[in-house]
Amino acid sequence: MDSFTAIVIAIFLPFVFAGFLSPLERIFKDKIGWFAAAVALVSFLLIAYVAPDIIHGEIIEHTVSWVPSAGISFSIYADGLAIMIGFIASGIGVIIMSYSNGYMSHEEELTRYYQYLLLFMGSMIGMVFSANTIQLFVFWELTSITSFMLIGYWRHKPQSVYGATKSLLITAAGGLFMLAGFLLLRTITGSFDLTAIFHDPYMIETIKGHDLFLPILILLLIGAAAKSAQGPFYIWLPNAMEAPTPVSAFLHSATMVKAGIYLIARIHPIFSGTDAWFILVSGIGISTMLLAGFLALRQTDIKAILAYSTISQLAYMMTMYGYTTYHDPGIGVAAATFHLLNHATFKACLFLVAGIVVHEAATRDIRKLGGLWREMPITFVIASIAALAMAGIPPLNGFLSKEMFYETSIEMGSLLGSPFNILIPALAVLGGVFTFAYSIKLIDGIFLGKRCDEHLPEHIHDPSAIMLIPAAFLAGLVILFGLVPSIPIHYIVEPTTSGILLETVHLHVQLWHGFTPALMMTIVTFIAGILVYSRYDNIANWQNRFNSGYPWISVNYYYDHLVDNAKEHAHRFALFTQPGGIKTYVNAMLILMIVLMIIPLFTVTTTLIPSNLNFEIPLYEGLTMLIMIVAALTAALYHKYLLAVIALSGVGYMVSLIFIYLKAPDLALTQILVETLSTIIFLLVIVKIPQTFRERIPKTVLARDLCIATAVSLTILVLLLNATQGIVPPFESISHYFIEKTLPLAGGHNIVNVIIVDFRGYDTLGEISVLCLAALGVYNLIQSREERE
Amino acid sequence: MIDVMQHLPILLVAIPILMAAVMIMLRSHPKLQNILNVTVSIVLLLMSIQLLFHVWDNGIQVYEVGEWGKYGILLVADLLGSSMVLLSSGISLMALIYSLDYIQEHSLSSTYHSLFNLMIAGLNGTFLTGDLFNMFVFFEILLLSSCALVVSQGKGGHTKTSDKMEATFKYLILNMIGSIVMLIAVASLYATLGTLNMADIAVKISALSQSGTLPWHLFMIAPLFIIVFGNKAAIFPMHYWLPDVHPSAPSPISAMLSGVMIKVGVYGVLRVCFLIFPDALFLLKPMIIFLALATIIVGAISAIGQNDVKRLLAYSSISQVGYIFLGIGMGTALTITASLVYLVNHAIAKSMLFLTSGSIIHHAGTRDMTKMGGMIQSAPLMSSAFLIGAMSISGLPPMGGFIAKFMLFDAGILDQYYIPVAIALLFAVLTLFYMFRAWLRMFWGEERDFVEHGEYRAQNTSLYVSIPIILLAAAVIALGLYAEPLIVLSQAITDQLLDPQPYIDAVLTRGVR
Repeated sequence: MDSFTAIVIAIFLPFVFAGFLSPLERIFKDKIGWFAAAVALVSFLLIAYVAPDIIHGEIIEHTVSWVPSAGISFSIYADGLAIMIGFIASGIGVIIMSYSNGYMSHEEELTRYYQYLLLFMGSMIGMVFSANTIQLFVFWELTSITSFMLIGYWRHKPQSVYGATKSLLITAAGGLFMLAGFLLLRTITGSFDLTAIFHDPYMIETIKGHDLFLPILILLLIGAAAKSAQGPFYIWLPNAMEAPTPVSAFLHSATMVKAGIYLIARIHPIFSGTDAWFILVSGIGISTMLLAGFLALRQTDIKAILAYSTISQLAYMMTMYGYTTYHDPGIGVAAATFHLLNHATFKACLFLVAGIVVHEAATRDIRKLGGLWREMPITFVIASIAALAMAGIPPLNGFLSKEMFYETSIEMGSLLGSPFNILIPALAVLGGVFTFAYSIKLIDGIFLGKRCDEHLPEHIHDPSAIMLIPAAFLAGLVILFGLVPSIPIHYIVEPTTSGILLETVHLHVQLWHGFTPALMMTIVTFIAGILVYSRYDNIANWQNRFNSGYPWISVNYYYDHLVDNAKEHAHRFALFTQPGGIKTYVNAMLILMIVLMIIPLFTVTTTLIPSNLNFEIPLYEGLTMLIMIVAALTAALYHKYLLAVIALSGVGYMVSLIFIYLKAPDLALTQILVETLSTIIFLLVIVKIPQTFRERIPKTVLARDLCIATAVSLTILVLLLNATQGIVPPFESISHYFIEKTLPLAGGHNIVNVIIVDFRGYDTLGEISVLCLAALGVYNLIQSREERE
Repeated sequence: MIDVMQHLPILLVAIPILMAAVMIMLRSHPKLQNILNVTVSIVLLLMSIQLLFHVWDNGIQVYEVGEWGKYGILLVADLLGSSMVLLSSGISLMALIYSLDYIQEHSLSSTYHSLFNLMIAGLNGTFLTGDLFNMFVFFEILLLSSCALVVSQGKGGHTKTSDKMEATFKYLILNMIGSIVMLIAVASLYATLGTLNMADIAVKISALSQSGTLPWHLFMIAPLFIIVFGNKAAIFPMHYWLPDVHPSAPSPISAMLSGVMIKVGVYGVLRVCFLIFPDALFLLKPMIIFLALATIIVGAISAIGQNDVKRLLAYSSISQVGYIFLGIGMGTALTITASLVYLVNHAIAKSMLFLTSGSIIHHAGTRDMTKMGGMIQSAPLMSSAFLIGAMSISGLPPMGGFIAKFMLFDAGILDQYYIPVAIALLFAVLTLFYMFRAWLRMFWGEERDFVEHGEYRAQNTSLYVSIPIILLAAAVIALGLYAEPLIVLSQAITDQLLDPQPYIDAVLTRGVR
């Protein structure tokens, strides 16, 4: 099996089995979760099968034609970055799906749950291996949709629906902006292919110098920030915690939220080394890191603490990927990559622990928990390992990547010079201080201190091995990566960093690396962290007071206002634009007609009215016209139906008179018949209804309507005056053909008749159908009226 | 066999007209009517497939009614026309099958089949005619048949006849004004050029424009056609009839109106503006872009404010038609291709959504979404179908609507229409919002009990209802996963539109008796 096939199977196997999960449930029943985990394991192994080549510095590329006429292909690009996130997605997938067997009760709709999990996993793997932007977008949006479905898994709960909607709106809409960015990027590069850009240093220079550089970067960053809950878009992630806890562990800490970070890493070679990249990416990163870390202190729900902590940790990665200068574009790449890997292990582990605690203690409120270490010793140990890793305590893996964060911050700061050489490291330490404080709070609040007996069940114990082993496995990884960093560094971080920087990279990471400035910063972090932790409640209270005092200083406030009131505002808008009366609509249409017809008057025309108009008019024609005008005015102004109808038919009869003058007797005859019939029908109808119609028309409305009517008549008049100048030479009327051929070919003496029944008999068929239709329609109407009565 | 191929265009119009008469005679045999009409619809679908393949292989087909050449009426089947016929045949077959269960038996057996056939005749006639006045005649057929069909009642009668009457009244009045405008435009053209044949008009106008003697009032006539077709397609500010008419029609008819009927307007603009008025396009394109953007905006914002599921879908149709017109207004080969892809995807997805909404309304016993909730348990098929439709309309992969939006944005950006694309993109986000909010509102949340007012529950959803929905949903997904044939076809259509010479040659290089 070649590597391409292996990757394609790894992507689509979850999709295929997601489809077959319903029939398979009959065989596997409650064990369906183990089957799903097995599918994930196959994907994991397939990626592992490909991995050795990549680690040795190879890159796998392959393209299959998909929709060539739209310029889209299905193409795979497997480098270290893709392999790393692929490993995380499938590996954590196996762990989560195994764990879920213990977490989800058997009454739940397990098939649906695992279906979405598999679909998500396939999309995530598909996304990271995408070599072109459109394919990346397709899988990107699929992860958004599956995430939406999983957040709303308990769809009868209003909070679930709220959280799901919010996540979909922000992540999927962010995706659309990202798509726009990709489309703009394509106008520079000429293809959707990312690899083509990576292979071509000249192209990268072109992009950096292009006018569209900044718009593209901003659009792509909107997508990335929306997905990874950065900047103002962070608001969806805390609400996403309504999902079942294994889902939060999988999607909303370890994998899906990393998609934005993945995008940053993926486009790093194209955009980094510029001021815009540093300011935007690191700027968003640092501000999100501090804000989310600070806000985490206020949370009382363990999952909410973890959510804010995830936002803050993702911001670390953003910040580090953002560290760049022209000469050294990838200052923080290795550190960020290592932290990405470490975060996936310790944060997923913490979520699994949170799941265990919820499962056993039936509450997520940290105020109601406490003192559980006696009853849940194993869980306590696992939780402590993960939380201490997050806090950056040696010898755990979090310590190493945080040290690297500090190192790169110092480096970046010193490259920028004063005041940044102080400011950036100081902000980094501040972020670390918040992290330290809430990490300790997790251990202290849940496992230490006094047991709140009134809120907790009497007997709490460690869960079954099904739930414990996955968490323990992750905790084991946390220790392993910390003690023997060369394993992850060599097999994962180096290939990934090489993939991002497009050059071979060798890293040296050791647990003990001497008294460096970074270690000093770590020590400062611990001391300050303990100080902050001692004031933890005061800070939380201050935040609560601030929040109730200034509710409008919050992104959620605006989101809620916008979304909750959207319907009302839109409804008012709809009522305003569509008030209901037919008159407005007619006016709108006529005004549009006037406007559209007047535009050519200013752009094209030279003479408005033809110069050779014939103003000589015989007396009888003039008289007929005069009568027509009077009759039309009467019809418009008179308030009695009877007179109005008669006046209207008067107009019609005068028209037939004009037909006679113009030597069209058959037309005149038809007109007279039509007029007579319609007048009779009118009269028959109006005897059944009130005889007068007196509606009050305000003077302004009347004036407006008069203006519109006059304008319409004038424009049509101008058009018709020009149109009736006769057929433009050199063309001539087709009537000569009718005159010549009527008798010899159609055998008729009356040309008009022959036109109607022969030359244009098809039109007549249509008109007959229209008459039948009118009859059928009226019949239909009468019938449905009878039914109502 | 060759003979039948030759006569396909006229048969596609004549058979439904004949069937309309036959159906009236078969009033007392409702079963026979149903079987016959479905059979005929399938035959028409097969014929339209055949016609499209024939045109694809052998070029534009011209049929002379009565063999009078350009002096009589010609039917012209080019790729655009025959593709539109295929689209409408497919959707009308689905709507017809759905109607067998949905429309009240009384109404179904008396006039429904006849009216339905006349509507199909009107659609096919419009798409195939090569004569401007003949198009007017078929527009009248379309208008009256759709009016009559709007009035017919679905089972359960969730729409009052008085509401239907009000909607139909507005529809009639506004479309009558449209008809008058069309008449003025056609008459002025005839008075100036002395012909009604579209190819002939095109030749004469291009000859005049080359010699520099193009009468300027032709530039006044060209925008009149935007009024005429814009009114049919319900673009702002001529969309007012649509949110009343589409919801008050029985659902299969709503599907026809939103899926096919408003596309007649799009077809008209493509046919008339690009064939007859290539010289006025510099004036028309900005007008169309401006109106299209206004349509997108007004439609999308209004859709957010709706509680009535069908009204929401109707406003969404307005907004989506705006997207189609945006591509036409930008007017390059890429954008027109994108618009055609968009048109097909919207037609299929929206007709499927309207059919689905019909079942949803039966299921819930109300059109008000605020009174629905949690129906995913009791109506899983409707939930999946609506979700697929919603995803497609909002342009999410892997649905057909994604390919459509992607192509439109891509084409717009390549042609440097940055601001229109930016606006379209922003309102795509609103589309996502209103479509998903509707879906969430109906299918998630607390499950409501509908037994007391619902007519029947999901368990007895008949095959007549579910088969069309499943087939259309499958088409939506298929067009998303593999859009290549549709895109290739759209590109070929665009080529024919932008270079009308083959069309003109096919029509005019024929001997005249």
